[in-house]
Amino acid sequence: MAVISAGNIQRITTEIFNKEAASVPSLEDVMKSMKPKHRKKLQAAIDQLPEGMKLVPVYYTRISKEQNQATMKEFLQKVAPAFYKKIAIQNEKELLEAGFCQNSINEMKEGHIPSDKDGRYYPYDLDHIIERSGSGQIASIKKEDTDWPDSDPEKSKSTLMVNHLRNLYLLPMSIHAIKNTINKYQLTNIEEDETRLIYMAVPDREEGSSPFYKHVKAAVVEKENPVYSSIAALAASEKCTRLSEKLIKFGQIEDTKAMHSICDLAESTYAYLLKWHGKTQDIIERMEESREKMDGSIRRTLSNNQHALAENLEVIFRVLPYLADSGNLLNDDFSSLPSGNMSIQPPVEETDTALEESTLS
Amino acid sequence: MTPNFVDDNPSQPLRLASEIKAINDVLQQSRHCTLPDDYVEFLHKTNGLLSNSFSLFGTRPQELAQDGMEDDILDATSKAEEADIIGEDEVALGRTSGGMLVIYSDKNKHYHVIEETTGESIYDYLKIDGFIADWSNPGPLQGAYVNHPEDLNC
Repeated sequence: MAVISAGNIQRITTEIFNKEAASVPSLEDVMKSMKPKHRKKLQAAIDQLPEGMKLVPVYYTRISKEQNQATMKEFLQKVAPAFYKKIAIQNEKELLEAGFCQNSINEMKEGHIPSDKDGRYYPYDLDHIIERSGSGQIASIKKEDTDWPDSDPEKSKSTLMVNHLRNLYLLPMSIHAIKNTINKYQLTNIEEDETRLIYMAVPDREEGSSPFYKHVKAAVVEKENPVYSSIAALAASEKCTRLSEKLIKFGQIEDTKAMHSICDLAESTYAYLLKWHGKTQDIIERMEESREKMDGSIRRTLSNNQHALAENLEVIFRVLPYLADSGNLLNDDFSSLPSGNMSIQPPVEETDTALEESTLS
Repeated sequence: MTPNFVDDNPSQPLRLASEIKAINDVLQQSRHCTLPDDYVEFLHKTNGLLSNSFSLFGTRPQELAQDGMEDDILDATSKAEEADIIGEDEVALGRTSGGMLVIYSDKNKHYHVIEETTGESIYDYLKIDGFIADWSNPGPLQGAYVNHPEDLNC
């Protein structure tokens, strides 16, 4: 039986990373499962995708009609005005460079949709990067938006996570139509609450020189705070529900930075994590207190938890390909995990020798 | 979808009527539903409408800043059909913030605000005035069926 220890965690997780990266269905795989007619239309839309946008794999979880209405109401009444205020103040120079006139920027400073001096609106849509209609759990979790503009008189900065400002950007209407088409053909007959891996068009934040990129760059509030990307959608998906369950067990590891990053996305999950973490601590303390007379049930629990931890590392690193593709801010947190202070043993037989060999501190 | 507009008619109302007829002819030929009566009334009041949170299409494209144009009814319907967003007996009449499409369905005689990606109807209205009232700033979204909820089976 192989022993997983701190010394070879890095190697193992790298292997898992590579394996999982390879196991994510490719766009070609996704397209193979589609009807030929839809595949052709999807390919036509992809071919039109301009420089400045790229496709990333994202789990899309269709929200309910009620959630859809709730997110839309908050978006229109509260979030969109705050977004315009934010970029008009923070990105004024870039907006001017992108062709927005001073009048439109003044409008935005008031929280209005930009229009020129003749009252004509600009051909841009305020779009959600992670689609509102496919945002799963983050369509119903409220959290304080740290990007909320100081100038906004709105007292409560707490909004649904899918409506957080960093998930919004101005997108030319023509590109928005392409993005929707790409999504649509991958979502044929998707049911409410169903999760599906799709390739979604998102703004490419790498440095570039295309005019389109400049437009996007000018409008996205992300310089300091990268957008939520696939992980947000993952958090919403069934897969991530299972992932969260596993991450909860991850609470046995001393370094909880990664857990907190993930669980910041879902406060309910976070609370559950802390509860589990407390239980695990209890077990450890009990074991330490009664080291000389450890009973079988505690021993089994500990060894099983240790084994689960090793498994969980696999699960955690399943998410990394998505993070890497999307440049998610959580990526750094995860990349530091393998060097954490931990020592992991595989499941042990119920023998005193095995217990003595296990390391918990 | 290219209607044969009569551009040389000196009377604006008559020209509009001519354009509406031409649009309806094209819609009928392509097996879409014709424009509902109350939308025709709306077009006579204002030939399309652009607002903070929605656009309603007119018989002709509407000017946007930066030389942009908002689609007209036929263009939008044609695009929505091509993208399999709407089917027969439906016509695209507008769009909202948040990437939803406003359509009219002859099947149930309702206006629907639908998600383009899933086709799900998120808001339903009996009259276009109800949609406008519900989506106009700063009025809050009241949800579906603001006109005659008792008439709808929801």
